[in-house]
Amino acid sequence: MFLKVTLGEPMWRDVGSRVTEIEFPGELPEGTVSLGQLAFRLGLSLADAESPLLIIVNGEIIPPDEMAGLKLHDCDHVELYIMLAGG
Amino acid sequence: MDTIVGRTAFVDLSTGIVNVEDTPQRLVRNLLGGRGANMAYLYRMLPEGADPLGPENVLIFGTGLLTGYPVPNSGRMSISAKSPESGILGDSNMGGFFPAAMKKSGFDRLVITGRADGPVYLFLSKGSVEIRDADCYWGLNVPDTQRALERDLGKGVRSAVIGPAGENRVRFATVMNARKNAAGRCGMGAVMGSKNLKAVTAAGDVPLEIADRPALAALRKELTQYLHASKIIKIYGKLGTALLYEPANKLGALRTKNSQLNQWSPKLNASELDQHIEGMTACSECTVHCRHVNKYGGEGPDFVSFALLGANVGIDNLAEIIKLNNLCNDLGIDTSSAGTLIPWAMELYQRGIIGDELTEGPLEWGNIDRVRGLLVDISQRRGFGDVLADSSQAISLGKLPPEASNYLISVKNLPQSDPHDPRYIKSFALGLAVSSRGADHLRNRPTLDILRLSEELREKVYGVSTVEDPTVYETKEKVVEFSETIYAVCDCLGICRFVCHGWNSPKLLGYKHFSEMMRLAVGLMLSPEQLSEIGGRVIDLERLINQREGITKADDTLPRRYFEDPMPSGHTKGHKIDREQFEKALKRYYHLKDWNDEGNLTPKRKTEIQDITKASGASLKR
Repeated sequence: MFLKVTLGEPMWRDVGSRVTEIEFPGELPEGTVSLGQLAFRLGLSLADAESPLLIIVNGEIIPPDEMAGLKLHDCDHVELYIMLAGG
Repeated sequence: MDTIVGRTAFVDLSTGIVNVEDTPQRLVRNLLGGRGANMAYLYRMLPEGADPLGPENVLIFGTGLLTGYPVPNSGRMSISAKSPESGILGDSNMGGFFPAAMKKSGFDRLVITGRADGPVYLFLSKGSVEIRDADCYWGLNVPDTQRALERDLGKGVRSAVIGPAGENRVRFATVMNARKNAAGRCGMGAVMGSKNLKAVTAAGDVPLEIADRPALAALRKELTQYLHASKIIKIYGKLGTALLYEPANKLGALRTKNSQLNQWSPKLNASELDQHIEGMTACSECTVHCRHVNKYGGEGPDFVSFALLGANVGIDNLAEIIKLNNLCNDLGIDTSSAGTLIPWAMELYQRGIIGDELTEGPLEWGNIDRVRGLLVDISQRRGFGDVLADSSQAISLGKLPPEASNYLISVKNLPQSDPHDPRYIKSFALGLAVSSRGADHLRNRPTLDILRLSEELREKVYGVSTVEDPTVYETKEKVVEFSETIYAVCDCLGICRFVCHGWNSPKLLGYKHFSEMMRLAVGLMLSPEQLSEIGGRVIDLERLINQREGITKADDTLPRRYFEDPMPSGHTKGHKIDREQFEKALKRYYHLKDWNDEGNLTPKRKTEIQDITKASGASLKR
């Protein structure tokens, strides 16, 4: 199973690329991956209070209360941005 | 034990008389310093109906209580006067190294009145103020002025200067120190120019007395380690605030083309910025280092300049945006106002409300040369630049038709600074409406409200239960009130917003930290609760100043566009401000402040605040 992942600042700098493809080999229940599994692969935390994530899947923003239960499917495009404000 | 204080200088530029006295203890105890103390002098000394560009306006340079002390991010000060841009309270905050130098020249505050016969600058050294001739500096841009002053006075001096925009009384002219540190908002540079005051230069030659030096050093180390452990501080230190563009754009909450749109080019992101940057720099005592040094001879851009000189004028060329940012800084022009007024003019042209005869040619979105030329013309008050140089006042002065007001993104005549479109984030909208200096995000924006933090965390941040959803109105008055209070205290202390609890992060420095810093630095013991009271006191005092300038409940409102035009695209599509819900939130805010339904203080509170301002010892007769 492959996911296309776009990473915002500064996460992409650790990975080395803004857009990357991540493979989840082997058998997966129902051919899905959880957001938590993806976050773990990328070394990110979904529960970081100081810099929560803005998560977009196939163009749709995922509300925070739906993140934990979200299942990702083969060829989904996931965009991850640190939700920051300030200035 | 008395609080360690510096001196307050009263400088009358008309007579050349300078009086210096110790900063009053009671003033410090009740309003600390910086913004709060400035407001006391402004309230006591500003004649009703004063012309902001006349000699009777009172210009106050006020360092924070902790400015210059060895505590994190203590490099800021406030510059206050009646604003020539808004016509009400003007107050602007500046970082860099000048604030600390002013404090270390012996001065908490300069209260400047009158008008010099010709160009002058003030030289601060060893607790004294000299008024000196500035003929040879008049006409120079910001960096050239500072270089010339260093050449003439020595490399160690720090100067707060105006550029050509201030000299020509452009209503949104800035006071600048170094390349980018700006007291940007409210036109304080124009007030300086109207007084023929080109610069204030500080030698920084008086060592600061510290109440408990060893304990303060230990506290500083502890707090610096705490701040450096913050993910947010690390991110800003590497990438600055330009990285805020991307999440705002992705969310669909970015002011674009005068807020006709809410999303713009994805090209303008922090990673594209890398190739234009040489490194990061900082202000005095800063732990963050959020400021870019760019490859075009300047510093910046920050998020505001990046977005408003980019998306809001329809430009997506990063190098050109940076150069426009540099140009504004060199001319001494506020990028917030420029990045709102030029788009305003572009929309007026787009709609046929103004034409070539007035604008001297087409005024199209994304025309970099045109924007560049306009900035120079604004600074010189030349051609159509002279119209824009009057900012929102161009309408009342008859330079623009009355219909133009329907498209200006401003509150209380101050163009909006926040690049976020607040139609989606209701607390931001409420904050803009009630901010004491007009449409400005630094006064009270409850930034964390956009993050949808958990209820438990929100309660830790704000101290009360609030609704997590940024698109609803309920409880948003609580987050605005919390934010305005702690930010006011920050400004009174001279501490940067970036390390303030609630601004960028649910962690960072709060009242208990400020209390400890004050005790060890200057020997003033105030509890966190007392500090919070002072913050509320400052907000109430500012309300009194504004009401005396004619502000009423009717002015606590938002641009017409926010009520009538839904956001057009993206995740935020369809959102706008519901008038009825807004009015209810406004009323709840008033009641939270113990103001009545018209936004007025109670008579008892008014008397209390007026009595405190007397601690300044100042009056109209001075």
